[in-house]
Amino acid sequence: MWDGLIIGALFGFALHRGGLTRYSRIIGTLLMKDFKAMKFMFAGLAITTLIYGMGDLLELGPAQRINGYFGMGHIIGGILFGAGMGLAGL
Amino acid sequence: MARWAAGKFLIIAGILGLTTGVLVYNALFPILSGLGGEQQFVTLPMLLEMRYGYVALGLGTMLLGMSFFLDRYDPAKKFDQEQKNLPVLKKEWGWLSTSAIAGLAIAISAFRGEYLSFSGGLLALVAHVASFLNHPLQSAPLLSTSTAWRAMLFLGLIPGAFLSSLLAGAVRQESVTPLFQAAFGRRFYLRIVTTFFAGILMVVGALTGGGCTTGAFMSGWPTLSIGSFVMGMTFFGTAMMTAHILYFRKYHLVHEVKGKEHLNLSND
Repeated sequence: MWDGLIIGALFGFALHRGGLTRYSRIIGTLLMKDFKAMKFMFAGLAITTLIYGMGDLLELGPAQRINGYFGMGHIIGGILFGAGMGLAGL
Repeated sequence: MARWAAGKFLIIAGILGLTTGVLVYNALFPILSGLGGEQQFVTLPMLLEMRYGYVALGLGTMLLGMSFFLDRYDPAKKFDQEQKNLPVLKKEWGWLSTSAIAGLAIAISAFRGEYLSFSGGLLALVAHVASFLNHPLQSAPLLSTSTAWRAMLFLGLIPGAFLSSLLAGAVRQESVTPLFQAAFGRRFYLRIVTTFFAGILMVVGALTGGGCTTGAFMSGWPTLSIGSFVMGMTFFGTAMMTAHILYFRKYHLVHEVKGKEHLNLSND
């Protein structure tokens, strides 16, 4: 359980140190004027996806927890979340 | 001192907004949880009838290529040059090193049998506190070591970001960031109100739609879940539209303020 605290701290450190907590980085990405946040997210996604892909092919795991698909829930939730994100630049 | 106090109010507004968001979601849980009907666990490899590993390697390679492509054409890269000569603990780090830390943190969580999501972590934290106070949440009635892990994950975020801020000498941050000031004036109350309501919208949205930027996007997309793809695309599309409406005819301010105010970890 305590490793959750360490992983959270590591992630928080990376987010702040990478400038992802900066207002101009988030608004800049949403306005396509600053790609730093987008590069961070795409590269982070890529690294995790490649690790999972290799893990699957070498049969090392991890067992995937798949988020379910629930149609309108994603659309309504996504609109609410996106409105908040664009409003505050968070 | 006023700035420091104002900055504290902003943080309090954010935390209050996020916590209120969980309570709003919990109150509306019977309606919001039934929005999309029964969940279906569908992934891209299932639709393509291919092995997960091959699709993941293809998508991962494509995303890494896109990151380098975006880096080549990043219009804001020139504003980061002046930070290059600062000591490593003082300056903002590059996208590749910080994304590697984030990506590894997500993968380590998965190999531990857990799932890295901060909206889920916040829900778990509030659920544990509510249960301790004998008011269990209807949206998270079952508490376990896994929900405790997620609550700890959320709690860890705060000292991690604070440590980075402290080392960078950025703790005394501007209460109203210069870009916000240039676009909407130095109205502290407006920044507080937008932060509070954005916190509510983001938490209710994330818990309704299956995750936040980390849960649905950075942790969800590598699992190739169709639900995470739909959620990620919907919230990024909406966020881009919202930002374009708010900054209509003010797009130039992003580069103008970056150049004039030398924006960095301390003042942005």
